[in-house]
Amino acid sequence: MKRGEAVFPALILAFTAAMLALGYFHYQYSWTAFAFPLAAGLVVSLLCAFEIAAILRRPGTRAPRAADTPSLSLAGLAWLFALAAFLYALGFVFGAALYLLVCLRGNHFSWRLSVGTAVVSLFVTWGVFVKVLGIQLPIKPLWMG
Amino acid sequence: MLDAFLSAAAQLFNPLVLGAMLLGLPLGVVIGLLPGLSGITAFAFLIPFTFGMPPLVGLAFLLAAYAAVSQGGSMTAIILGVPGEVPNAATVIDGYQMTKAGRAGEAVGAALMASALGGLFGCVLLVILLPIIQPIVLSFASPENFILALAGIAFIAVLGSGAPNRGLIAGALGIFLSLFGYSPTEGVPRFWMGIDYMLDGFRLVPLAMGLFAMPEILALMTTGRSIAQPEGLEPISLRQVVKGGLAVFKYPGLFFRSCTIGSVIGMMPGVGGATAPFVAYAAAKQTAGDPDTFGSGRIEGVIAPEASSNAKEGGALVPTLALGIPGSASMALLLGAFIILGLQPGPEFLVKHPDLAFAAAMILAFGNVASSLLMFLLSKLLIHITRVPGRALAPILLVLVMIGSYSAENNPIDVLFVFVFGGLGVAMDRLGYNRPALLLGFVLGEMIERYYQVSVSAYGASFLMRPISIVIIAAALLCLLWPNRTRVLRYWRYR
Repeated sequence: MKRGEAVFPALILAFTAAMLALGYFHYQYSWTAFAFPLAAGLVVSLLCAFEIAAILRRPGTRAPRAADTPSLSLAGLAWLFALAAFLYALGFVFGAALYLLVCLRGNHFSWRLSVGTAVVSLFVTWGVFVKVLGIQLPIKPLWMG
Repeated sequence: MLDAFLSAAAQLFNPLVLGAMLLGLPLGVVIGLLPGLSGITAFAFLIPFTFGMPPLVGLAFLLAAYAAVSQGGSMTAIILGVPGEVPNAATVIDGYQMTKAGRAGEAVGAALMASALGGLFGCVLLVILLPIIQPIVLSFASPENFILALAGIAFIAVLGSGAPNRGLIAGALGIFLSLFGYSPTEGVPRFWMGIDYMLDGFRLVPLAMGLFAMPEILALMTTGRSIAQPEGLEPISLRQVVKGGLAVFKYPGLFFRSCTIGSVIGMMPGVGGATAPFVAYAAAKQTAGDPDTFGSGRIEGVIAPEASSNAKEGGALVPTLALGIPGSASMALLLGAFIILGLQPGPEFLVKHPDLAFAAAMILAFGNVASSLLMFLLSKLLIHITRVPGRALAPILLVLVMIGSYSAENNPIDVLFVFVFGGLGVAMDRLGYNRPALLLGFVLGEMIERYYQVSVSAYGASFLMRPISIVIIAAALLCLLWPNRTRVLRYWRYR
């Protein structure tokens, strides 16, 4: 568990260090453009190094957690990411409606609730966003450009 | 100033502005009723709807919704023992005990009245302070603003959670992420990795939605439970509500003290949010004749946190409007909304748009009173939303988040970044990293860099040695170290 907790600050440290290296060696930014990001990045890196050291030095206890959070389920994550696939394949108006229909039916809700929610979604995306607010939500599938 | 005040009042009667307020109120109430969804989430959900709106209409919509969020949160805190957002947690202590004792209506009445009047107090203070604070604010130059912005992030990072180092990591990472894209001084694109989207850096809306909405949605989707489990829900009678409302007038000293605590804490950049109601509750307990009975259903234990919670919003608007430095994490997002609406809060804002500053205070005051009335009317009906099963609510919220984030810039890559920042938000939530600190760092990052560049150019490396700068640094250090004074003293003696 201790090592698991250290992975997150280690990833932040690696990301920040990689970006700073990219800026210094590849893009070769001027001192004026690079000074502030360098200072901010060094602070992030130092704090992460300090955190990793503190986690590894702590004797067997878990770090404080923000709240009692449930464990992640693959099904939950799959439903979450499924929306991206629906939006990409069918566009924002029809993709969102179909996603709601499939997701609610897939979670054993009644046909009436699932279809009703999908229709309301069509009304909100097409009626409110596209027609009333004038926001050009992609109606065509995204893969069609 | 009087002209600006009258002009602001006149603008509020514009049908579009009134309509926006009336539309924002019920939306804010609904978001407030969903535990975990706070004022910051309300802004994240609602900001995309303001695109294309005139500035005052957009502000009316957002501030009215924001004022209503807190009312919804206190309802669930009292009736279900589930705080709508962190500040409402202080209300749970005595409010939920009152519900269990069959006095839910009384607690709801006291909370609604204290919130409405507390909100009014904060807004009146804001109107009084705005003209007074202007000369003080104008004496602040770039070095002072640079230090204030850094101190604000440090405050929220260190005091906002039980793990100060993780809070500081979040704040510093927020600043670092804000530096991607074109440099404000040289126009050089930084860290863009050959991706055109990154030329403008990371965007605020996907970041806010990913950090705050996605973890809540994932939790709902994973557990499948409704957000609240309303066992033993007590019916609310009108007589009880009126009795509770009138109880606020029995404790004027408690009410004004709590409001003052809320407003003062609200004005301190970064501290506002969750701290004020707990400090007000502690003060109410300390000054009561029988402090041991607090926690068993004392109505003062509901009045104090609710009054301070709403009074702090007016206070938090003071540094947001006058200095361009948010008084709380929600105000950080409001600052982003101001920028999206084409307004730049700060000393110049008070000179150029005093009418808008007064209008913001009036909208907040109206929102506080109107949302109390609305909550009173809808109290029985709206509670049912918290019983919607998580697996039904989560996909609906997810679709709203995705459409909202796309609408911000009509860019599908924003949707992708909601997922990316969603992963970051989930990890931070689970490992106890301070998400508001990251957001605050992101919102203030570019400004901090600009102030830093100007300070170095104008005053050289010794810009930190200006008298006002030294005073601010000393005050910030004192505020940061004071809660940990025993630990610091013990360490010092040990050495």
